[in-house]
Amino acid sequence: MSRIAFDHVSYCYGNQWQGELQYALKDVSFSMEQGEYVAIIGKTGSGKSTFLQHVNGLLKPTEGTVLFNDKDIHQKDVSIRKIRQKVSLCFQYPEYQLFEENVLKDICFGPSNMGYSEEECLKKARYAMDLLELPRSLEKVSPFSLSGGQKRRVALAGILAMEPEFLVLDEPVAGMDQRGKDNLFELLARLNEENEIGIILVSHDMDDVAAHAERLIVMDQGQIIMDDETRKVFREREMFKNLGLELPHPVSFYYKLKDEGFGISSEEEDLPMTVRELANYISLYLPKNRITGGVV
Amino acid sequence: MDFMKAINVIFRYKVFTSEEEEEQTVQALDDVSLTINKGDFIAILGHNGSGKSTLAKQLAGLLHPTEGCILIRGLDSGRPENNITIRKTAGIVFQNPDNQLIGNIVEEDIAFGPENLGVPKEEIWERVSNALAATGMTAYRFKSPRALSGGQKQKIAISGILAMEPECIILDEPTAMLDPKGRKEVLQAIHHLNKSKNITIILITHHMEEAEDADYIYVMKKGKIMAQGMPPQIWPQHDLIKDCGIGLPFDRTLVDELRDEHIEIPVGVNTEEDLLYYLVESNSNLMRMLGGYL
Amino acid sequence: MIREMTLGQYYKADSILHRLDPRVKLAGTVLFVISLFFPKNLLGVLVASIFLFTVVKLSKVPWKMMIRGIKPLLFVVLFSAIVNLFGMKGTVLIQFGRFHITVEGIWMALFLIFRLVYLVMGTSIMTFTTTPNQLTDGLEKALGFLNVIHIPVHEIAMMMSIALRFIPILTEELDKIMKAQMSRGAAFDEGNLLQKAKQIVPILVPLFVSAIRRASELALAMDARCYIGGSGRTKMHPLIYQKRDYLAYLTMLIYLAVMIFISFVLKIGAI
Repeated sequence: MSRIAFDHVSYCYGNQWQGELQYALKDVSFSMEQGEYVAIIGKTGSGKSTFLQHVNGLLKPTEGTVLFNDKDIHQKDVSIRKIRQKVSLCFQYPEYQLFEENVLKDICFGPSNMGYSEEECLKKARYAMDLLELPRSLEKVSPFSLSGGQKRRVALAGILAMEPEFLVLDEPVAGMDQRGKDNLFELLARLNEENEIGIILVSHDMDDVAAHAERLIVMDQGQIIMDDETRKVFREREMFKNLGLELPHPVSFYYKLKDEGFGISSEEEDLPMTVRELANYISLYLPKNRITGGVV
Repeated sequence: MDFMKAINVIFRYKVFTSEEEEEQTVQALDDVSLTINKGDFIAILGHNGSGKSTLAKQLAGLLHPTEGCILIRGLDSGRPENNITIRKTAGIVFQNPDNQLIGNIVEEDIAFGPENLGVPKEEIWERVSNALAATGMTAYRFKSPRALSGGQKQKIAISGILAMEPECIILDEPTAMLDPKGRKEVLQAIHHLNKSKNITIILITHHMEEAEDADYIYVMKKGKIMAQGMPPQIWPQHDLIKDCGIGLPFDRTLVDELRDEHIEIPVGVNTEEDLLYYLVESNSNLMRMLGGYL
Repeated sequence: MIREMTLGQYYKADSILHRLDPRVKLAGTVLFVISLFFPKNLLGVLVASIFLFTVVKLSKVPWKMMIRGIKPLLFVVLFSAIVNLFGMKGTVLIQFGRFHITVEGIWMALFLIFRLVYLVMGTSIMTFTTTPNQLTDGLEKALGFLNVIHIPVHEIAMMMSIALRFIPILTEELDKIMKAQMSRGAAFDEGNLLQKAKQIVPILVPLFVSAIRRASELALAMDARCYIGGSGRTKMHPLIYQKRDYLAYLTMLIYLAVMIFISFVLKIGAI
């Protein structure tokens, strides 16, 4: 089982004109095992994107170390390429990085950079295409002639073809319609459960985060201010309010119900993470099978 | 006279596919008809590639029907001489804020439309001030667009259209690239314009929640209009909506899930707030009944 | 980061120079640069210095910024000064081996430093006090006469100003594409020249595709805002000469006249 860890990582960048240093990451420590499903939330500019770029060594920490299997990834004897194969980063709108003349070649780009033979590359590429339900008939098609949704899947296939142990995704469903979103999250869940791929998901959509991630990291001003089980993090109503972050719909509806005196107030209950769980909870306190009172 | 009317619009275009070395015809719009009144807030929903963006460009006079016609204030959009009048009557805001701001300074960008229309200098100044005030962006007048957040950039894009003094603003997925805060800001601005200035709004989106407050909704799939009506008429058609690849708003999903738990929510409970109070009320009724027994 | 970088090097301040019509500043810069080639004596250098220093003072641009502008050129300046120092024939001052330094060489080197440094300072004063947009506006208006010979001046100016807006956006995009390809194992500094050239393809293709996509979206957005080219357009800030602009022109002419007089009529201390 592989492991990613941040040991007191800070990253600053200088302001060109004023010459003062600003922290994009400040003393961030964190670790995760392969097979975990972690989500990172925070406002725009809270340091999420800088964080992601440290995970696979695109940025080098100003202070502290990033470790993969307890080894500093920026040490001379560590191949950063191997790290990037094992920890794959998928940027927002990954379809904008397609460049090859056909889909198959584009998906092979990653594996062939990793030094696999052509045969192995093709095998890996086809495996990734199957994962993303891309039909074989698309192999020889130019990626630029595909629809937006297909392009996104080809780009993801190009990343999965490297057979990573960790998959880091920045807003992977941005601009997708509901069906596309559902399919992608289903795939991520499958990769996480069956292939034991560790997933780091950055998203603004709290409903998605609540429904899919087991563990939640909240970032603000370059710092991790909370890192806990998803269900527990959403208990911090005040914190979300102070940070200007939304709560997931089921959670906020649950709180509204509670505020109006619904159910039994004293009891410490698990927060509903999905609409399904919310409906379950509501059904405990309502009569079934008939339309009940209440004139609206 | 209707403000905006599409009559049996069909739109086809040709694409050149590399592998077959031949032209293919794509039909983006298939017999689309709609009527929009002045001051309406219209939402057009559809999955990616459903033709909703094409329809938006048609209504803004940037594309023209292959068959059928679009009339805006009675002017046929197919006639080139109507182009300018139609474009300043029905302005359009696109998805990517970076690709539609022309000026290097906010006020310059907003002035771009009026400058093109040959508006005199003093009036441009007035229009720029008004347009900025209408979206609450006055403080950013002399900033560079690069210094703004996504939501602020979209509000500048909206102001840029406003400065042409349009009767209608078409927004083609204006919030798709924004974070939740930006999304909220933009939606507030649009609703404000609709209410306070009676500007017709046509909002193209696949976020169902954004369509909840619309006066009228069109749902599209594969270039066709599959359903239309006021929100309460659209929401109950769950199967059709799912079939069109769009998600339901949160409260409608909850109603669905509650039905699976054998709890029927009566017709007429149409908003999240209604649902909340309905549930609270039924719960307290039940508690009272139980209390009676105890 | 890149977001805060302004293109060109505009320094925001409220000064008479900032308020001047960009055409005046364009013409002024050209004239000043030409004037730097006149002086053959120290008096000329003195006049040019007084003029330049007064202008810098008036512009309210801090000296620190001005000096920062010269720094990158230091090497070029010193190099050419040294070449001149040793390369001139004349009265030998110091001789070591095959090399000698002459009086003429020293003068030549000093004048060269003066010209290069003042040239950079003179032009940066313009870029410090004029936004890129004012500059394109100025060029559009100043070169308007070229329309007569069918050069589309407005279109060129519009292209320049749009390019200025998109350069930072595309720079950011380039950075992102590079990082995305590096995440797929691409390396941009390995192998021989041919291999390096090949490594650029995964960056250039997406960058071009993106630039084209952005361009077509922008074109549509311009259409939507009723853009039909330069004819019939009005301007929010039309360039109209004010009294101060005429005064500035006059000052420039007086300066030029003085420089010509000192350099070509008065023949004191010439070399």
